Amino acid sequence: MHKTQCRASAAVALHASAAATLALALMAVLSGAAGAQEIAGAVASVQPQVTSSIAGAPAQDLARGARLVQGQSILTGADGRTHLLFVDNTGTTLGPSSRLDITRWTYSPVRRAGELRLRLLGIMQLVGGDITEADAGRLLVDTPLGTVEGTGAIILVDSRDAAQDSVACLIFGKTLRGTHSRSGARAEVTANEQCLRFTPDGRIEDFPLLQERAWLDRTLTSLAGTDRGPTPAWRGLPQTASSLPLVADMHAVLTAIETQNFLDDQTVASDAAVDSRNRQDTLRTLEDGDARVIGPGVDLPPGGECRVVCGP
Amino acid sequence: MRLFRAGCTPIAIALATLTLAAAVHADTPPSAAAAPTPVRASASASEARTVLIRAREAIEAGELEAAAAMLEGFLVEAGEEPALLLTLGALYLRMGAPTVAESYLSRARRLAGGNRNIADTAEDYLRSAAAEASRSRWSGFVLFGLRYQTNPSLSSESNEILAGGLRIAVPDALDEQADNNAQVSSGIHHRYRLSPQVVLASDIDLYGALYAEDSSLSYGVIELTTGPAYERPAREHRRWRVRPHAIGLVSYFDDAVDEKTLGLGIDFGFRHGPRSAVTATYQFRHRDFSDDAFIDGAARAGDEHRLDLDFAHEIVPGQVLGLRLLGRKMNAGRPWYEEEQLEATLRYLFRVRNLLFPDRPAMAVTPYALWRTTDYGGADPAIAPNLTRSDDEWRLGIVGSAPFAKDWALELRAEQAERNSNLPNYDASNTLVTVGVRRQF
Repeated sequence: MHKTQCRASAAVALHASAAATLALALMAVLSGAAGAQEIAGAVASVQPQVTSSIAGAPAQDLARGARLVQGQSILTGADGRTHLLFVDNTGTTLGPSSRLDITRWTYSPVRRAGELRLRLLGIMQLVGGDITEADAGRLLVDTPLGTVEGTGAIILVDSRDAAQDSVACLIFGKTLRGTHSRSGARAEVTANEQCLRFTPDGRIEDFPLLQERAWLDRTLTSLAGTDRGPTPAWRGLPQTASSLPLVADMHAVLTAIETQNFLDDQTVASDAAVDSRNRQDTLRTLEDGDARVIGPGVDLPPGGECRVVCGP
Repeated sequence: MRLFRAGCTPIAIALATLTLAAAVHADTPPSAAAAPTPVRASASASEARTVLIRAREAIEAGELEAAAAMLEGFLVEAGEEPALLLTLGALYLRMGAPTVAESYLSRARRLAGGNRNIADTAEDYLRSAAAEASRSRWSGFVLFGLRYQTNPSLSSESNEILAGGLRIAVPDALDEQADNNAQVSSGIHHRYRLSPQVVLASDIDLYGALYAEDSSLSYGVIELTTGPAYERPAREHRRWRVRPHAIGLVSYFDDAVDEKTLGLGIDFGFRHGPRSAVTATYQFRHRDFSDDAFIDGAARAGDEHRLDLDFAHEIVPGQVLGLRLLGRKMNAGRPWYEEEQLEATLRYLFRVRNLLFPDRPAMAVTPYALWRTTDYGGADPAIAPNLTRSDDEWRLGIVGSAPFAKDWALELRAEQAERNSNLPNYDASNTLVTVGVRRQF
């Protein structure tokens, strides 16, 4: 299944109004009828206290299915969060007390290329779509201290203001590049769970996400929201592990197989020793005269060496 | 337009329908397309189910990012739902993001409440995530079992055997005799992360069988392999790793050292897509059989070359088909112990409802079939001077593992082995049944 197909089908299932908006956007783009306000995406889900404004207009509450366009700003309250789905299938979760500006949006569904540029104050997790996959595409996120650019990436960004560090992490993907807006310093990470930290004094440091577990837990929790207890969405679903899409890790499978192989090999080794033991016992029986000789089997060669236990 | 490709027609129709339905909102300002009051998302159970199904399809298709996007998006609506967190944790673990996986899995375990299935599964994945994420981590298992065998001594099934060139009736002492034994096996793994791409991977494998009867051999072996594993970052499904390693092995029969082995090896693992993997291992071993061993005329010392190919393919999540091909060539100082061996093992791992402990996670069941052919280097004059031994062997078996408590599982194994040899001495069959308990750590 192609990624676009997967996501489209999920969008249909999950957020019908958002999917419909996206479909409209896609058709409009293909027909060239988009006009000045090309639809960039739609709001896939929203928790309370999320507002939106365009070009300085008064903020309005944002609802599921609302369209997204270039120049739009999304603001979340202290308990607000929202998931935005762009036409290229980029998905963005915006955490509480955050502001996201869609500063640039261009996309050609035919070429599967374009540019998405966001400005962030707050926290955001982004799962890249076509734009981050295509060679011609660009995904840029501006923070108060610099710009990050991700390729084929799932990224996590936390940027509050210019007086505090900004952090961007490559959760999964190819590269995450950072450029500091004050010093022009550049840095890049290319491995999963590697991060860039922009400091107010103009430095960019890379560090493993492992070092910031507490921050990670806090950030992911705030993106998902607090425990609200069983939600209507999950009532009636079998809450068993076997009902989930179990994603058995191949490494674990291979480790288990290696262990089994070791045990099999030891069986061979012990079988060989048992054979040797039987061989010895057989000959000892012959030597002791306890064996009942039925007849000649094969002759010992003349002067053949008696290598094991031989009779007197 | 890619949405209208083959296989996507229902999606396209659904989209078109929804597009028409949405047309009534076409003039709504982008920032306020719906009600002006704050909207509390309330996804339905059917939506949740559909998301899970679609996410599973995406995972099966290898589109892990697409699955992540769906689940992350739904997380905003569902909140910290344990089942969703568990799924996301497992997904990120598979994507090679163990620290993120740990975060989700820890919350899944904490919020699971009385749902032991969720909690135990989260715990299992957490162990894997912790092993992946930490700089230094031990993991492994130990299994204690009781084994019954109909013919542990592999006594000949023939009425007569060869000895010193003579055909003799099988002495009573060499008749088949069933026996029980206690056994322990353990796999201990240590991983020390040297850099994001390099891990020092060490494995200690232990196996021991203690027999009560003198007619059987008590046997023990410990094997250590260690070496730096270089693995490309998990940014793509196509992944490979290479690991040169050193090998050390000591084995015992009863109370005597039988074999000391030192060797070098290299393994190359390649994961072709998210569901298939192959590991190729070459090992050179210098095997030194001790003079202390009680077996006269046994192997002395020699070199062994092994080439091991392991294929594993996950048919659907939780069902894995494995094929192992092994070739060995060993020189042992005496021609009749020199071996050229080919072996093939087919395994099918799947999960079923835990029939023994219904409130516990699913059982893992692995039926397997092994075929092995061995040609020896020369005739053994003490058995049959003009006949060089050649064996064929079949083993059919099944292993079941039923979790019954946190970190504990009941292990059951049954196997039927048949060996046919051109020398009647080595025609043998054996049936074994093992019952044991396995402890993960």
